[in-house]
Amino acid sequence: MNKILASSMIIIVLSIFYACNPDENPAVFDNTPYKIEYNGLPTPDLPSDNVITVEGVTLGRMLFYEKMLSKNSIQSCATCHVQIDGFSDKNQFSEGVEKKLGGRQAMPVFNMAWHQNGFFWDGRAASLREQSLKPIQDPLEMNETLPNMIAKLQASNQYKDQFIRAFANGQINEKNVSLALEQFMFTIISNNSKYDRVQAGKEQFSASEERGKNLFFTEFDPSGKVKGAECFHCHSGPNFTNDDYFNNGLDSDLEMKDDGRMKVTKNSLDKAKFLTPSLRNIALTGPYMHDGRFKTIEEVINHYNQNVKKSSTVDVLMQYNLQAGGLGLSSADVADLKAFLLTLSDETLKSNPAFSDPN
Amino acid sequence: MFIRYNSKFSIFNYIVISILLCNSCNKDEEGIKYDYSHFIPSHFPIPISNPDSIPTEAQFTLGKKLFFDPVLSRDGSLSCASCHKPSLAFADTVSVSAGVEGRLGNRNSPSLGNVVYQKKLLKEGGLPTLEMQVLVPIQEHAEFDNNIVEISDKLMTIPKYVEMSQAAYKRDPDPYVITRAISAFERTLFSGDSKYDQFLNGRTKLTAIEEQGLNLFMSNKTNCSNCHSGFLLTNQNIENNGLYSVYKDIGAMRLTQNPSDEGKFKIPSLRNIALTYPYMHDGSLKTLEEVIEHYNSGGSNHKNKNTLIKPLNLSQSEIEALVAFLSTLTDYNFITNKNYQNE
Repeated sequence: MNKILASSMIIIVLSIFYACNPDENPAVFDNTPYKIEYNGLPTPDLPSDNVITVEGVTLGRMLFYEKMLSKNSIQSCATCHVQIDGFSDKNQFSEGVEKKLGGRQAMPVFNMAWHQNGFFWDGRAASLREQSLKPIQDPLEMNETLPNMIAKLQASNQYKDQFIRAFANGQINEKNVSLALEQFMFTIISNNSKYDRVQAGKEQFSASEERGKNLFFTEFDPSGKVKGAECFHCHSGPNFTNDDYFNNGLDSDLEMKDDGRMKVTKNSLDKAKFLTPSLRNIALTGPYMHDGRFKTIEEVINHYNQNVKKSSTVDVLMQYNLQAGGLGLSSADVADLKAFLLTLSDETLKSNPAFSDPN
Repeated sequence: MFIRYNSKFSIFNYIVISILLCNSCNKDEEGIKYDYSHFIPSHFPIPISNPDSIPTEAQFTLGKKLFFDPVLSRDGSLSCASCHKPSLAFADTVSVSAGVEGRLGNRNSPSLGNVVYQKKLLKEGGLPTLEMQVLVPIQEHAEFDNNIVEISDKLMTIPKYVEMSQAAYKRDPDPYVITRAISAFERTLFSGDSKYDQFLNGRTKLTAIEEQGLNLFMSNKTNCSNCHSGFLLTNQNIENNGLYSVYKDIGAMRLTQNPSDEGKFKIPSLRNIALTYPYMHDGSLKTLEEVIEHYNSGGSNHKNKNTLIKPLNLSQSEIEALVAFLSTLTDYNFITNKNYQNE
């Protein structure tokens, strides 16, 4: 009798429990850290006020692929930052929700954790979290207001739960959206190119790649004894960028159409200066330059070889490029440089399921 | 009678000096160092230096060849001049210059102008002589990543270097020669013919705004000249200027392990300052305006911050005047001097 009573009680209690909690796993805050393998890359200085967690990254990834972030819910971040293209856009200028074109080439999104000197071509966002909200509001891009975006997310049970899992305060607000996007973007690491494997001693460069590497890392020699392409002065460090703003001689003063860094600093010395981009995955991330004017790597190399233009802000590093004859690279040199640049492609970035659309 | 230092300064002077020096040396203790006055700016002091380090023409020529020769780097990809560009008063345009294979250190390349007067070398002032300093970029992983013994072995196989080394030091191009010759060249990098120098020598006038900037610079309102004092515009002390509240690069504390040295770096000369951007030990400030804004704000809080660094309440026009004055410190004859260019 007692046994029957006890069993009934258990069944009743369980029924009540289920009735009140239709979700078998009620959402709770979970701050389990997300592990990132840097493999050969230095450990970056990440912001201490946004610890990367498994749930935060899950949320950030959902948001990165979430079309509700745009007006009319037709575009997500991933529309213009396409994984198979190294999280960049194959189009010279990306088309926004209003069918209008942006003014600059979409920058690839990987290894963001090492950027310490501003985001976007002109560095107008000081942090990645600040960056994350700008394309959402840009009339040429996603053209959505932050209050609208928040309202749409708040109407979703899926997001309600995920914000609770990701943040102690569980709130669906602008700040948490930006923090989650920052977390996810920090996890998009690219460190498995042939170059990385050669550095780790697992593979070897071909003869052409090796020659290209030497050209890349060698100073121009005015005496002509050694050939050097000078690339390394700006494309330096583990991510092939010195994380700073330069005028690389694309235009003369008269031809300049984009003030670049000057828009942010208001200093005329910064006119037409743009952030040195990483050269990792360069074969995936064309077209090239802030305005996507070059379609191929050869065009880029030819620019530096013999087409650099003098202007009031062109960098002193272009001193040899500006001389008559430029760097004097032969077509074989250009081919070798390209061969080396192709070793910077990380094929696993294109297909890594951790970075793909979760839906 | 002084021969004024200017663009006419030539190898001929070295020959004259060398001859004079040899005579002086033989005369032992009399008046050896005064021969410097032939090629240093007339209003600069005579550098107090070991007579042996006063370069002969052969030593200068060898040092200059080495300075511009990528043979010093492990893979033959870059030379001293890669990061100390003559056109930038022997500094670099990037915050941190890349070494072999594009490796990055964490400090900005300093100007070598008037380096003969530096009492201590490197940003934390850890080295007393240029000869010792030469070894640092040669060995640094993120610079030449090389070894002076291996460089020496390589130079021994190059007849031109053996010949020049014998002519300059009566010995083969060994580490002794390499460090001395490069230092010898660097010691000749006098820069004292800026508009400000011409003004001091009564050869030109400053504009109203430049003069306003000079007066502000020297005033108690800014206290710039408390640290940036003397003919080099530095007192060469090691100080914390409040750039950060937390330093990634701990500066002089790296040497002393003393927390009271945290974030302290050598005060740089302001000569050619408009050419030697970006600024600060890490090249984090890009323009003179940003630098002045840093000092105007009083900087970040740090226990070691020099007490002179405090909010200055400078107006926009005062900042512009300071920039105008600082721009008069550029010595165009220095950066175009053929003696200092790669041939």
